[in-house]
Amino acid sequence: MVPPQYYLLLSAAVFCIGIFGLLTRRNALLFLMSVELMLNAANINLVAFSYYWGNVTGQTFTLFTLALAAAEVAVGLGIILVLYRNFDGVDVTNATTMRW
Amino acid sequence: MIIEALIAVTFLAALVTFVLPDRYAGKAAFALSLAPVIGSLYMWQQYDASGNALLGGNIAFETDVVWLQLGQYDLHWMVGVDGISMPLVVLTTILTTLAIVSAWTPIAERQSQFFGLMLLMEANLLGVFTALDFFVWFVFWEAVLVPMYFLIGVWGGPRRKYAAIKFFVYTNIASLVMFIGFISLVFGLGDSITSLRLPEIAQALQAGQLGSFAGLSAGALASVAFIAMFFGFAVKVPVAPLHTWLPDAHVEAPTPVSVMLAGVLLKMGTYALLRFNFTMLPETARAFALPIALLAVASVIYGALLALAQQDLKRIVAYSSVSSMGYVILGLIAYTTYGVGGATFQMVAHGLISGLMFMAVGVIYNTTHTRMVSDMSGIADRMPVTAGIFVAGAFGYMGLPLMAGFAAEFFIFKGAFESTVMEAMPLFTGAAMFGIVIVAGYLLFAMQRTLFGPFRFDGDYDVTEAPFHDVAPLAVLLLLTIVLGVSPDIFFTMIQDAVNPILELGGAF
Amino acid sequence: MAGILDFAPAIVLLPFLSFLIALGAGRYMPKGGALAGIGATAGSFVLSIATFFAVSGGQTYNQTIYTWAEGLDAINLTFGLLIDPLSSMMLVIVTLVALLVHVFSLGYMNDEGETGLPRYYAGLGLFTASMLGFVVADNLLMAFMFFELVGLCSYLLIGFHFRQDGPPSAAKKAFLVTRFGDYFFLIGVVAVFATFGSAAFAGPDAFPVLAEEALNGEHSVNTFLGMGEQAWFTVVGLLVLGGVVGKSAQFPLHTWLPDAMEGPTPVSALIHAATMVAAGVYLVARMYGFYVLTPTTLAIIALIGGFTALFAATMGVVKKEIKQVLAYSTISQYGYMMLGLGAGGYVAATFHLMTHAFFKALLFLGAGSVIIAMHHNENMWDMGGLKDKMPVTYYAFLSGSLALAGIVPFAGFWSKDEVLYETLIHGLGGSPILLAAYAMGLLAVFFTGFYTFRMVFLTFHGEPRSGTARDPHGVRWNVKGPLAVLGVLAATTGLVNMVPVEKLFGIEGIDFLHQFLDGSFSSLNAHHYAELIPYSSGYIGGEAGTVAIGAAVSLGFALGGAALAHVLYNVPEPVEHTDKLGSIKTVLYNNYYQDEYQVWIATGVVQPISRVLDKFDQGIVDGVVNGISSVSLFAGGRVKRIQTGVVSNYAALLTLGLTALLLGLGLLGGWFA
Repeated sequence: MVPPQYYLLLSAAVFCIGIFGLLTRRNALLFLMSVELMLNAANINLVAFSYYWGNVTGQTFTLFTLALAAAEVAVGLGIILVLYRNFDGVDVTNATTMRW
Repeated sequence: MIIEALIAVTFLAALVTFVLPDRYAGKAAFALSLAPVIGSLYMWQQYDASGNALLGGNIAFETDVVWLQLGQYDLHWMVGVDGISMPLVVLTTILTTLAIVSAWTPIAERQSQFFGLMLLMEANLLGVFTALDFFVWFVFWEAVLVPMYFLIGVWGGPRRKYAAIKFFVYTNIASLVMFIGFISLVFGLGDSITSLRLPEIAQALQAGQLGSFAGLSAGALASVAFIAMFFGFAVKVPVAPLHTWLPDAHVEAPTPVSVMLAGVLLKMGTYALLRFNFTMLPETARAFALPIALLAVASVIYGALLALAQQDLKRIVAYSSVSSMGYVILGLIAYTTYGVGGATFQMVAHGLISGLMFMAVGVIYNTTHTRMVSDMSGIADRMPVTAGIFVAGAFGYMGLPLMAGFAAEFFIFKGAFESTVMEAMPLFTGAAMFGIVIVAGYLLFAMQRTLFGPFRFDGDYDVTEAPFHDVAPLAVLLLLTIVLGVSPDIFFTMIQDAVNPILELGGAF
Repeated sequence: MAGILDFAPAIVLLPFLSFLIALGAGRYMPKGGALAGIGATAGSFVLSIATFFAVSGGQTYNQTIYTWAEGLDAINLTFGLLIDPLSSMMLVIVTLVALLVHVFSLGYMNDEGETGLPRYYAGLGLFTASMLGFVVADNLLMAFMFFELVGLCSYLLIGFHFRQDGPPSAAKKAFLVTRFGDYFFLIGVVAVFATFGSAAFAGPDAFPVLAEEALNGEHSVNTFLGMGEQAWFTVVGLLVLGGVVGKSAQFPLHTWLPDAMEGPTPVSALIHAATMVAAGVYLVARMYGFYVLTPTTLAIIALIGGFTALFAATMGVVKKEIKQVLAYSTISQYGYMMLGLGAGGYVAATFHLMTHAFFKALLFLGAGSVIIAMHHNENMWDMGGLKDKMPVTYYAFLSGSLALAGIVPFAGFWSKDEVLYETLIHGLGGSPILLAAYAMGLLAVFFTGFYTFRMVFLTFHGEPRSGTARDPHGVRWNVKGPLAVLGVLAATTGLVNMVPVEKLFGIEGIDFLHQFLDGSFSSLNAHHYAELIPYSSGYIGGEAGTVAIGAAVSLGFALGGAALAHVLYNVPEPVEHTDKLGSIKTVLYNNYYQDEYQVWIATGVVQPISRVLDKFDQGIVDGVVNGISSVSLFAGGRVKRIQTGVVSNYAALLTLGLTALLLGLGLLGGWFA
């Protein structure tokens, strides 16, 4: 059995990739993908610990999270469409109307 | 159950008024507001309490049921009245009705909302004066601010937003400080109390159950809590130098709202001071006698001198409220029957007289659309009845004997002079009494310039006598003032009955 | 026992009823409510006379009739009636003058077509009722309350013609100046309650009696501020005296009274003769048992009185308006009463209070008659020669003037002489202060004689100096009647107390007033006061000799003044001789700039202070409040810049926050240790 540290390292790596994408990209689609990566990093954790403890609650929870992620993508894509329509592009830094 | 009925009926009246069309709102609000008046008069007639509600006295119309259980402390729905709150309940209902009538002329838009808010405020005020559980009391205490905020902010003068926000934020911060002070007392009491009922807390404090909390010894905790609560209530009273929200609020508020603000809302502060600071922590209060007496004298003289400098009739009356409420503080710290009793009596007397003065200024304003002393003179020529009542009210404010103001002020002066809390109390009393000269000064100057002399008016309005429904509330208030002045025992007996147990704690006897 | 004294409350209530009637229904009644007032005051007058005789017969009345405030574990505050010789005498004076003033008003107000008559008669009714309530008060608090109501009524009546500029201002000044005095009075009332636990004038717990016992060491009372009993009583006495000085228009609070001439003339008569101004002196007489215990207070009263008598008389010399002359003479005459009280002459001062009430009411009503005749022109330089045109007014006025000047045998002579005599003998008994006060009082007699007859000669003698004086407006019975009654009284009331005659010729028993005031409550009678007086008497050439010298000197001064006026002004075409005084006249005419300095205090000191405070309040106090809110707003304005709207920045901040949190937790959790 693979020790949980490896899973955790994998998860941390995926999470960091996600964060890196989030901080460096300006494209809304890449944003969305980065967020998905972070979410899945969390899922890896859930599954790994579930497997480690022999308890299916974590895996069940992951299924819920996946469903949620699908919904999120739907909403996110909707937002991106609106963004494209209103700001002539999918660059998130252009949409600054909701500041002070 | 009558108190619940009273509050519920008032809430219901507010609700009904909200949904009525504007055309009927004023008349309907007046008719509906008669219900609480009758209710409170019935309560007064059936009143059978004795002693102080917080100190084991017999409470009238008491209800005490467990409402919520919240960890260590049960929240009770506890209401009831004693000799201190009964007169204030009557004052609240009567003054609200009269204020509603006085609003018929000046309030021209969104009437149903205006009158609904007035009634909503009345309901909350009744709650403040009858609640005997801290939680219930605090909910009502804060809820009073909401209708007041809208009443000033929507129907007020040109700077209404500034005034409304200043009023709300200032008094809310004060409430927060007060809340912290009070809750620290509750924590200091530890396991000796099981609910937030005020009588339970007061009696636990008297029994010396106050322990240390947050590194403060019992004595230090009492002092800190006293100062925090005093600050919180002093803003409401207001005591100089925490008074600056008051003139702004008064100047911007429409007449009926000023009447309620000066007549009842300020009394919340002094009522709470009496209930919390001076009943629960008498030893601490006596230890702070010097600064409190200084604040009282400063309020009286400073407020009166400021009134002297004003050109706006409403500002004059507003600052003189600061002055009059200073007397209340002086009476409270005296810890004598006449001092504390007179202070309580002054709450009622000042409620009537300041209401009268604000209404009278309002009636003149309805006609002239200005309140500036320099804009008019000789108004008495065109508005003889209003001017006559204005003069009578002004003399009432100056403390003319056989009117309520004199009775209250004399009781306070007598009580303060013979007070034993400090050696120098006679000097403080003498200094505060100089207020009666200054108040005569500014009111006489203002009357001479506006009411008397040859008629002159710098405006385009036709100055004629006010309609009957404008003058009638003035006449009623004047009559009440005189009745209370000729026979102060109407309230003074029950007030003394409720006040004397406090004095025994303060070591006056 | 239902004696006549049980009806005493009605004396007060009747005029109050007339106030209510005139206020409520006056406009529907003929004569604007005057008849109600006349009926009420007549009723009160009859009752007062009956009371007076009952008291002469030895009856007294001292009852609490209403508990104003009942104290639980504290004393009660009550209203009650105290009828003793002093108050019964005063009742007669007040009701008589009020009745005559009401009748006179028919001529002065109704016949002259004034408007607002219900208000006027309501004011008169309330004024009378308040004064009567004050007179019969059985304790100091009740006295204070009615004292204040008297002040209110004076405000309403002085400012009767509110559509003009002058009267409202004068009314305001009258109330404000007397209020300043009442401030001290109110402290005094409170102090009396705190000291003795009672403010009753008579009875077992009367405060003068308690004070006396305390000084004798029989009884202890509370004193304050660490003072001894004597010192504290002096302080209390002086505090109450503040109210007296204000109401009785004594220096330095006399300035309101000349201005009060703006009121209708009958009101001036009422204010000066019987109600407001008399209230102050009456109060000292009422609580004389307390004042005699403190020699310092007595000396101050005497000095104030003597100084005011002289001070006001000098100002009366140069005035142009007839009512102004009378106003200053009132101040001066009340100075004599204060002098008498301060010098231990309780009966003398009371006597002067009575005679002055009659002759001053007479003079004011006479002046009112002249003013009607002159179409409301009050300037004496426009008058002259009215003697032949209005003989009733002239002879009545002359009677009053002789009384005012103190010429034998008119009323004023006897009372003024007795005041001066008491001052002289007590001064000779070793009190230089009283001797100084006596000298001032004596000098004032000369000025009184002069200004009185200057007024008479300018008004009635010589040639008419204007068209209206040549053809004056006639007056009717309602003016002449009161003048005739008072004219007789001014000539004769002196006979009730001819002490000089008694002392010189040894005729016992003609000092009726002395005997009258010796009766009743043992703690309240003249005899008791005489025992307590802290002065001893001294004489020049025996008692009779001193009487003779004193009377001769004061009469000589009065005649001297009158003679000088005769020489200067009783000529067909008088000229203003006082112009020769030059700059002194300017000072006198401007009342020694007393008004100026008091107005300066009000507008030059208090108002600027209040304006500065207002600036302070708006700038500093409110500035701090607004400052706190500005700081919050400013801080908020800066902090909100974090909200850039760029999602990447938020993400960066989130990451930074997470990292910081992890680092913090790690540090605390000891990961890096």
